[in-house]
Amino acid sequence: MNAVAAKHALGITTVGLDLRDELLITSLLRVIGDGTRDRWEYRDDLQADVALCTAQTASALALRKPDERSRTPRCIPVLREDEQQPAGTPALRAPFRAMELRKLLDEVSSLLMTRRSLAVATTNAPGEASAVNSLQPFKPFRFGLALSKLIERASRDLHRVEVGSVILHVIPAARALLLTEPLDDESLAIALGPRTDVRIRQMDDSETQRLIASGAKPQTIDWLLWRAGLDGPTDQLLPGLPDHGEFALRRWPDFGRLKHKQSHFLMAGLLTRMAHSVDALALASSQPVADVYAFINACALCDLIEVRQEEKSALRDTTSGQNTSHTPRYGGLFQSIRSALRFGRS
Amino acid sequence: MSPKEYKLIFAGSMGAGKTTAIAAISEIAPVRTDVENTDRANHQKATTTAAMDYGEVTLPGGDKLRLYGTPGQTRFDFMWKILGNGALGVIILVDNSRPDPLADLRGYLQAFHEIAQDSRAVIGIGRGESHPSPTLDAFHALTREIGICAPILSVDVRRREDVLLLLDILFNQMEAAELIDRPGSGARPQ
Repeated sequence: MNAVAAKHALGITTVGLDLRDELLITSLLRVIGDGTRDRWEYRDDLQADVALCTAQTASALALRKPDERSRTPRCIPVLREDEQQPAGTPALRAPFRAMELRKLLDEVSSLLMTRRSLAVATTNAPGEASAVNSLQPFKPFRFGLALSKLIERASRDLHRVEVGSVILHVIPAARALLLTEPLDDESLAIALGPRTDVRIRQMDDSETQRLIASGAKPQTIDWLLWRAGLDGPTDQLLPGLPDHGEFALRRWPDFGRLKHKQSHFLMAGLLTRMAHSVDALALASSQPVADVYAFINACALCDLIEVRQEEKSALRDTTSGQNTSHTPRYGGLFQSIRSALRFGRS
Repeated sequence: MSPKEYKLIFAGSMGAGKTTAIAAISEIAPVRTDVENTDRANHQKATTTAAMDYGEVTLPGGDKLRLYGTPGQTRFDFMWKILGNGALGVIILVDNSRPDPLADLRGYLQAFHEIAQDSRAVIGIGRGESHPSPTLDAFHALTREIGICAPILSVDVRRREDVLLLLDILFNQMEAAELIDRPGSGARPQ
């Protein structure tokens, strides 16, 4: 089977947005190109699969009669400023950015695929193969894994990494990325797209000299590997990481240079001290499993993760002591300090 | 009930930014004891901290977080342990432009070994952009050799958010240790 099957053609439209926003969405769709899981096209009518709506329009459409609703596109609310995201519904927050739109479209693809799977499953005879089972075009972490493998080779030679329209230069042994100008969000969205082909080739001396003469500056590649893990699918571990394994950190990530969320700090503290399974880490850090997957994947691509097979005798639950009479060592001290200095958890 | 006091230590070599870091978060103008630097062979600063820096933060309820910066010169190293007694944690700042930043860190980790082993230390490496060597890998190798797994971050303590990042990570590390080590958790550190 061809690993990269044909993409679904899906339509997107806008309802109730102003002309400027509509133009911005169509521009961003062009920027994203084929960096999404399915092929998205802008439509001017309500035959589209999804519609970006104002929050009010989304509510109004949801109230339509069921027979009317079945013919309307799925509404994705556009949220502004302090508007809250409705629970369990994908949403796009203004101002619009290519990266966020790409993630949203992939999320919607997953939802629509699930809907298609359910529809096929209800019409197929038992045991009959589902048509959607053959749809496996989505290759997650393609770019991150290619980059990680290149770094593993530890070559001292300069390599050209071509991913879609984005070109990077890498010295694997130095874990260095050479850029003539910073990577913007759009380029990053293309590079991290799950469908974009990655081509790598070793550069010869003359090409290397030309690149150095052009003023390309080396920087650590870890931030890019980190982003490839963090911005990848959040419903699975990287290929090669065991679903039922326990994970520990070899050392702390350099949060001074890596994009981070506050919740990453506690997860890092737990994993540097003790190996945890995904579920145990989610429980101990009170974070959603999706965030745990993203964090472990980012650490793994940066070669910070050690995998240990889960041992039943060592199965631990770091939250089980909550009902004991143990008095917390620091009480609410850290919360007081955070509050006084206005940082961290609220 | 009388207000409680907590002590946070900023340690590091001369010029590593201890005074700057304290000034970034203290609610009072830091009390500084700078004198003329007589150690120009090791650092070109005109003045340096001869005894210590001091700053403070008032916490909700009137408790105080007292911030102490250790003197940078090694001839004052007898002060480091005195200051470390009863400290909540220690923030070690390393200036990567110094002749031997690894030796600097080793000295501070030895002085604050007990605190660092108790997961109450965080290390900030400054001037790494202009002086990339030694790398963070080398600093991690050193801490491993000493038997410590402390967070090590690239920072610029002239930025307040970098100082707060160091504090946040220090506290999260301590909270993680408490979660794992508390009685009844059944957990055992690796």
